[in-house]
Amino acid sequence: MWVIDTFPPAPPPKGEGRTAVPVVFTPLPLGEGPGVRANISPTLPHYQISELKNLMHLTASPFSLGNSFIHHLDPRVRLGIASLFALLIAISTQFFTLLAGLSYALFLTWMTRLPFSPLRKRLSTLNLFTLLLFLTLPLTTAGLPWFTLGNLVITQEGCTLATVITLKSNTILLLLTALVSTLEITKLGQTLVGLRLSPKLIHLLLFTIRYVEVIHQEFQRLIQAMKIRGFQLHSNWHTYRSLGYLIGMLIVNSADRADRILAAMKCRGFHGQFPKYPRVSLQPSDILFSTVSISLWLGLFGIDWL
Amino acid sequence: MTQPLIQLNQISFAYHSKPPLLHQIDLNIYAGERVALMGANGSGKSTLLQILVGLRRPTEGEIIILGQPRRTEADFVNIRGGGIGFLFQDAEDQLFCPTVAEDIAFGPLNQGQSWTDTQTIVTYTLTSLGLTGYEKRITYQLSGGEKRLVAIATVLAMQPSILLLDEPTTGLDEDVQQRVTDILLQLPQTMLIVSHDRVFLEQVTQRKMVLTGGRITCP
Repeated sequence: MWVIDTFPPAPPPKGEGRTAVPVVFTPLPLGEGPGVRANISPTLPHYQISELKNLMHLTASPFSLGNSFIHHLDPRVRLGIASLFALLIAISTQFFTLLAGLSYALFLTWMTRLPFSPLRKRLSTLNLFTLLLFLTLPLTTAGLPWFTLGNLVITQEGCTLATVITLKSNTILLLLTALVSTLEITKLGQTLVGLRLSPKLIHLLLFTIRYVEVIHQEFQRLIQAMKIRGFQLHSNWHTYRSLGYLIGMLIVNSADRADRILAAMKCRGFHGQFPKYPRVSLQPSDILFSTVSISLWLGLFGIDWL
Repeated sequence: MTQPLIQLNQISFAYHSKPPLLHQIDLNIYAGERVALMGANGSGKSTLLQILVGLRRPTEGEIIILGQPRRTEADFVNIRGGGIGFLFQDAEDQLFCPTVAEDIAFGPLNQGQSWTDTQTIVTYTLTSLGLTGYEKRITYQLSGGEKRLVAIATVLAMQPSILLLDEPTTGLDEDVQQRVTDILLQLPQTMLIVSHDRVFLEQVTQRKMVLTGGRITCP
């Protein structure tokens, strides 16, 4: 048997006041907030900083950092309720149901006390698309003419369809933002594991979230190296070939990295499955929220069905 | 006579359809030793470390670690983490969880530690490395130096007997290099350190080995 003093020693057993190893260092400056900002050198070109800011929204969603009633709900409850309502909204065609759903989603979003600016960004991205629907659907959907603009016939059905799609998409986006985006990514992963979804897909999701940023940085490095050597986008073979090389190199690098990550995980005892986390039982607030939400859902579903 | 913790007998290794990289290497590392492994780029230093944790299999030779011969994957699974801790060259490869606490917890949980014990280990490890308050930090937002220190924490959290360190100071500024040096000097573990940094190796290690032409020499 090999008995070797290890570091750090096992956590002190109860009652025995074992002192900490005398390695004490001043901590590195923490930076401000959960910030990438602190790490950005002020000499970086402007566009890169804005890229990084965008990425912050992508990976470390500020949404999950809140402290509201919703943030404290059980992830299973939140995922379940979000799916139920999203399904109802997706299949419903009644304006009453859609408006009620939208109100509920707005109420939930209000409850989360999310910062407004990233939320507006999300909504405006979506509604840029629905705006396109409003520009095209009234002209292209067959139905009763509502009014005419010169040669163009605007149909009632087209306008209704565009409105319904807008309502549905905004409602579902708000629902998912309020209930799912406010989850920390790992909790989402664990919940999906708990719901018996394919572990491979869940790993894929978690690793994508972790490494999309790294791959993006790699992309930035490569494209900057290309620009430094005078590369500009043109419509010619040189451009296409170079971009092809760039993408190829990204894929090769990513595959290599995947191998190294797996090796590193194996070195820490990984054998194909993530360690299980303890089960948490539902709190009274979870039950309250579920009861209210499911009653509302049943009511709306009933009205919709009749 | 004490038995070495790591014993390599006549280890050879070659990548597919390439000339052999390691040629009949003999190596003994004893408990408490801190050994430097130097050598040119591509001389097989990293490959040798990977062989020691079973990520690659030698084409011939015998590996004895912690007194047991290690041949199959199962033999190596037992020593990974708890027996041998491996610090990768690029911390980005090692830190794969969204937050620091989750990443450090990964190893102990794999070792079968309970959830509550793991939380204690995480806090304890971070505190002992002077990283108090890092639990909730997002790994990809850490600076290069912080990433390296957290990567060291993830390895130490599994309480290994032996540490394999692949270029632990490369790419770090002087302050962080000094911190890494101080940490390593405080640790009781047996270490095999791959590095090109002579000053650092001079400070930390007791003996030096050089890998050239597939063989180990002790200058």
